[in-house]
Amino acid sequence: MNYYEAVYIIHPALQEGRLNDIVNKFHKKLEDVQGKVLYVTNWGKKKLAYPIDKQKYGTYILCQYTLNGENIKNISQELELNPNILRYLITKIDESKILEGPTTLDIVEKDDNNKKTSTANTENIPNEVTDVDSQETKKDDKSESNNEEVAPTTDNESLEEATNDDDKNTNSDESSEEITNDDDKNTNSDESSEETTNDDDNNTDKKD
Amino acid sequence: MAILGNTRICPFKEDSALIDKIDYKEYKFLRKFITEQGKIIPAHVTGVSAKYQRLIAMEIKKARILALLPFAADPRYS
Repeated sequence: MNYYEAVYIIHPALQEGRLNDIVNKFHKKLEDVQGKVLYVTNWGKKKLAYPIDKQKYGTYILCQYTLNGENIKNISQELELNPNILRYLITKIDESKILEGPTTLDIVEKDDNNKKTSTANTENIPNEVTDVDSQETKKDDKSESNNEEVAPTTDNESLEEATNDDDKNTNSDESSEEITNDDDKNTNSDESSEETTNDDDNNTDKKD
Repeated sequence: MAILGNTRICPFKEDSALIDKIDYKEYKFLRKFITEQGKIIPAHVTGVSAKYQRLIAMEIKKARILALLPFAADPRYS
């Protein structure tokens, strides 16, 4: 029995349930050929250094296991033939390099829970303060989540400024509810925001 | 990295704890040994001894397969 380590990249579109299905399927295949899973972690969704199958993101899973060397072909075939696995790498490792931790899939869920708690904390804090602040922060969260999806095509700076522009617009809308005559001002503010975005584009062009 | 005259001392011989970091999973550490373009920096520039330069090159190539490090940096890829 040798010690092996497999890192594989799962398609970014897969949700938690289907992701766990793939991981479980891989572990079943390992147990079918008398392998034993020693350690599993989910590195989370990462940006790839170059696109693979036209995908810019991928979920990395690290799995350390013991297996007879004869059966490594079956395992690599399992990873190779799965269309949802973008790339994989199996390396032989020393026993000393086995990482400590529980052997079950719970770790995958724990990593996800950590992300959830990090986002949950940001959501919980404003709820304690006031309702208005929570609304604003929720908007920010939504815009941030949108940014993460749109992120690969645009720069971070422009996105931040875009969110600021959104805040300006919302503020102007609130004032318009109070005073109806200020519609002209609102349009002016919109134009100014557009102008600022244009300036940003010019800046980026200069940088390029 | 200490500089003695014109010669450098290998960072891995100064601090043996760094040897464990030569691993494709520590791709952020390996980024010290590639250029902005993604090329592996030659040992005579970084001062790494031949023994560890071989290991570094191996691990960088593994990290490239997993798209943790670039084969070549593409300025259009954001």
